[in-house]
Amino acid sequence: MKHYQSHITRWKRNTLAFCVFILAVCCEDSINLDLPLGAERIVISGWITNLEEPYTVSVSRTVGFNDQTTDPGISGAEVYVLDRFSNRFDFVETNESGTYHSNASELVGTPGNAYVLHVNISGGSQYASAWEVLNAVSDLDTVFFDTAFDPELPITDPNAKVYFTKGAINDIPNVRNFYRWKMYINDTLKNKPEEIVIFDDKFTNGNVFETKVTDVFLKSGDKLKLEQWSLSQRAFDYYSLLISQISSDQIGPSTPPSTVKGNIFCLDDQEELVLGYFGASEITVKYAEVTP
Amino acid sequence: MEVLRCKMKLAFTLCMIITSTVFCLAQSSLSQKWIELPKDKLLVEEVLREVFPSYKIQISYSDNIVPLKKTIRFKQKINQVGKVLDEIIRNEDLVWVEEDNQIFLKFYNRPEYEYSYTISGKIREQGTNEPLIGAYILSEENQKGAVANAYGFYSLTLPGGKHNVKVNFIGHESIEESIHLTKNTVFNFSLNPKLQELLDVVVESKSEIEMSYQNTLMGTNKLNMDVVGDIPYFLGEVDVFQSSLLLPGITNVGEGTSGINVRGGSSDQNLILLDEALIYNSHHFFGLTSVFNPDAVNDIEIYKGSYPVNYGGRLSSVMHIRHRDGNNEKFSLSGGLGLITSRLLLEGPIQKSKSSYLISGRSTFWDFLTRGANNPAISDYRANFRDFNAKFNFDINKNNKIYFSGYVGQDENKFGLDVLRKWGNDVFSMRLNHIHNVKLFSNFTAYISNYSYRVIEEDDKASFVGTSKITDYALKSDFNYFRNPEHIYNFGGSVTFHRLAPGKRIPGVSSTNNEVDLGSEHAVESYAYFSNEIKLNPKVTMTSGLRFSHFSLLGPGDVFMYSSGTTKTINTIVDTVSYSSGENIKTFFNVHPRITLKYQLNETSALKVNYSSLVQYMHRLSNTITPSSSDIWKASGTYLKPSTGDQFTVGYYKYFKKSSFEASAEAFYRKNKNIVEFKGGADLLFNPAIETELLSGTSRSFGFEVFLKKDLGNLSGWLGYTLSKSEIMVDGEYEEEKINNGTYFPTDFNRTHDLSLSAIYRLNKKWTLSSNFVYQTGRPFSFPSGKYNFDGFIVPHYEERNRNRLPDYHRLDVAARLEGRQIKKNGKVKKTKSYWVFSMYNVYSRRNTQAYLFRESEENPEQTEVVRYSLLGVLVPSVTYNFKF
Repeated sequence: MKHYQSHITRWKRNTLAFCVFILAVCCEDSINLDLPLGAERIVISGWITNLEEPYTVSVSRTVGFNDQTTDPGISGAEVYVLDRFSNRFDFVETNESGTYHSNASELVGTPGNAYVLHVNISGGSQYASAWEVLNAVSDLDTVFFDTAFDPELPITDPNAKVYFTKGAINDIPNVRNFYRWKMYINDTLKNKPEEIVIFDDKFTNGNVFETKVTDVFLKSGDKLKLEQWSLSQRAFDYYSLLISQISSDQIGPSTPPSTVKGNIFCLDDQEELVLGYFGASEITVKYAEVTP
Repeated sequence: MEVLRCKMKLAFTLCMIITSTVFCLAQSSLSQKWIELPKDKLLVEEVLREVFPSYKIQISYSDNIVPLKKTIRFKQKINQVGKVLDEIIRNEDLVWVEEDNQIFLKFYNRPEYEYSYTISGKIREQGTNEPLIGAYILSEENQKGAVANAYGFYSLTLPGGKHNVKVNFIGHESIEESIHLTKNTVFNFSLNPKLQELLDVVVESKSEIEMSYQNTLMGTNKLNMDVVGDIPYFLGEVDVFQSSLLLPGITNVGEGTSGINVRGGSSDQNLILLDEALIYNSHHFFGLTSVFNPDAVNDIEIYKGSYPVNYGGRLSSVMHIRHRDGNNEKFSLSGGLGLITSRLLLEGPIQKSKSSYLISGRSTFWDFLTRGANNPAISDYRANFRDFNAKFNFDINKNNKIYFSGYVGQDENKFGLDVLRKWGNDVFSMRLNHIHNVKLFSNFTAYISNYSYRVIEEDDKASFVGTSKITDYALKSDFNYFRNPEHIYNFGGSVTFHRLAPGKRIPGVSSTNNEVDLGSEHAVESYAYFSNEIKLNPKVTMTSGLRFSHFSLLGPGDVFMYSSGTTKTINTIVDTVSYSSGENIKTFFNVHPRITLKYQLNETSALKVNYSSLVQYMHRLSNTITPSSSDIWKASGTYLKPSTGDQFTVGYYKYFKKSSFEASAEAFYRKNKNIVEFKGGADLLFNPAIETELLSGTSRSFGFEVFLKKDLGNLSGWLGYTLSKSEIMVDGEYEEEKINNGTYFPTDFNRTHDLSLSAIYRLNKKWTLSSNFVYQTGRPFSFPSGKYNFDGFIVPHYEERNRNRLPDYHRLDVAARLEGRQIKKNGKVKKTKSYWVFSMYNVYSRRNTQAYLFRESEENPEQTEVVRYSLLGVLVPSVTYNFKF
């Protein structure tokens, strides 16, 4: 289903399996490598959803890859969102520098509405996103679990069972739908690069179709909270490219490195490269527990 | 347009050169006069009594001395009078003279040496009757010779009289034959393979004449299977492609990757042929081995410099692998057991000395071991391949021979809960060799070559079978005309029908997937060529040729129209033009001149220069650094232009007679246009508007290669060194259509220095030792210029591609071959021959860097780390066992 990953994670696995099974000789070690320090770039991200909660916009800068200090958020920026009807919603900076929150009582995303983000950095440039339509999300019909044998457990243990998640989605007909799943297991968001789940209805438009997550395993008794997000095509493409760049997989047929360009632009200088993404999504949530 | 005009000009000049070398100028006015013959086959009588009088040409002769009833066949109807007279007096005791505007045919006591006759036939191996491709025959008297073609056919035209002819082929005992030529004669030669014991005694060396008869082409490597089979390999897996990587100018992206890169070309720019038929995917099993079963291979020809004019359709190189025909004298069974593959080959006569078969198969067996595992997570794993070859040939009569060949190969893999993938080539071909006369040889080939890739998802509601396919139906003909040792003409043509089915998904029975079918794309590709190899004088040989190519993309099909002034995306489609079945969507014509000049400096050294022009109409769409088996092919059309290339090469070649070393130094410059590149994150799967994901680039490469080779004696091997640079520029009109701001950047496989040394030493009758050493500059790589946090992910930020490099790569391998016992305990000679190969890959356990991974630290996800990834960090030993009955 995750066709966009076709030859990224799979080929990594192929190569690894090939190594493990035949030779057990491939090796990885952490090293110190002198990396060139490029120009600093502004990074802006944020999501408007249908959930009644404050939404977050973060404004920061890139740092050197070897730099292990925390992200230097950009304080004191003017951050606001406009909707299709020219309503303005201001975001207020929180205690955490560079993190801005909306007022949950003022702004709640509604499907069909469109939003645009503006960020004016004090003493700096003005930035804006492209318009994002908050698309309706298809119904997440059912969530259930299937069993697999844990490839990480010893070959000799035939009962080394693990669980993985499957879901049936009642896809909205006649339109292209793009999805993201966020999985919280026992209240912890699964957020490793290989745990990002995005998919679309390219081959299942208008049907009740099943999707499965084979990179996140659960144990008996685990509690799952599954959020299903509706993405725009642009957000989906952004995530596809993002996944290809953070899977840090240069083994086998991998995608060449490239800048992950989002939908944020500098209003003062069209040439300036701005990173990050501002998106809008409807979210539907389902809960499930793994029972043996 | 300018380039095309230049090419046309060059083509025209070449045409002129070819024509002027074909037609010699006559001496005076009457004999220079052009006349038209009524037919192309005439009696001498008709020429003298009807044709000449009709043109008021006065001719005096005596009926007694002129062969009036002799039939002459003219190549064309319009001829010069002198030319017609030359045909009349050929091989007759006659001479013609022109005096006072009149022609006299006079008696002339023609000495034997003024007659010319042709000896022709086949050069084969004694005992197996396999053709010896590239064997040569020489007349020691007048130092003229000829080389056997791909089917072992030779033709040598010599003056009448006595000749001592010598037939030579590497690794075989020479034959010397004394012949008295009084008419055109067919001579078939059979050379005995040299026994290994003899190599101790005789130190071979090639004669100077032989050197001068080496063909004029440059950047050509012929791999000798005896040598290829003896060098060390990873896991002992003998492979044509792995051995080709040890040649100068040929590299790849790294270990365990598919695709080879020749002189800065991407891997889809190699024309890979198996017995004349094109192969779309030439790799098995993570690129570890190629689809060519080494036991069945007879001959490997690699062209990376000057391309013979009969080859085209790809920009970078030609690799023609020819399988053996199969022993038509006696049955034999051979095979081997290795860690990756096991092989079996059967061959033998169908009708002794007239027809034979060769059947071979290979398979991996190692995943049978994992199938026994209790844990289905492991026993469900699949990673295997198999292939099967069958070849039959029949001598219909002395002038006709027919071949039927088939290849079927399949790779399969499945990992954990992932889908099952299967892919492979199927190739079927029929060839007919026809000897028209002693000087004219032809081969006709008809083949079907198919590559298909399948994805099978068995999970109930999500089940589907996805396929992509490309099929070629091709017809081609190749003619070799050996006019005389100074003039060889090659000509021919081909038509190929391409059928591409880029994507189809059929849902399973209870699946909730929709059926998706992108339909198929159809194209016709054709070409015609003519080339002339001519010895202008004893020192200068010129091979010049022209190739005309045509490509048409045909309907049915839809072509999207995009709004102008912006980059193409699905949102900028403004219209769709539909073409009906067979309707022409887009057609391309190209003319490709190719010319090589060879200047023989002295008996053992030569200088050569070459220019080659090339075009590629079929493109592999692969947005990954190394090719993947799921990559689809796409025909040139409305938006995807044909890629074109020009290459210049200069080279110096020397043969050291005493030490029997061959040395060459070549410098090349190559420029390719309209190379396909991809937008960041391009989605190529089931995309009907695939042009929205494509970019177009220009690549250039230049370099210097040195090659030192020793084929003969107890110590053999080669040294190859390449100094090169290859770059690509993607500078589209819009920002989204540029990579690295539209400037030149290094290709993924650009290795500045590339050195390889392979040596084989025959220690004694039992042991042969061999070794490879490889040193290469690390490949270009991209380092992040920063990082940032997005949605809780740490994202490495790349602004430029391939501006950095991995550390240098080097490796030493050794192998030893032990011949099995050949004498039984009772003193009798064993019927079975066997040998063991013990090899050690990466002897000093070099941990070569395959890649750097820039990722979140595993211990602390808040932090990042740089990880060095090595595919092999240890010595890899292996053993294979081979046998032959």
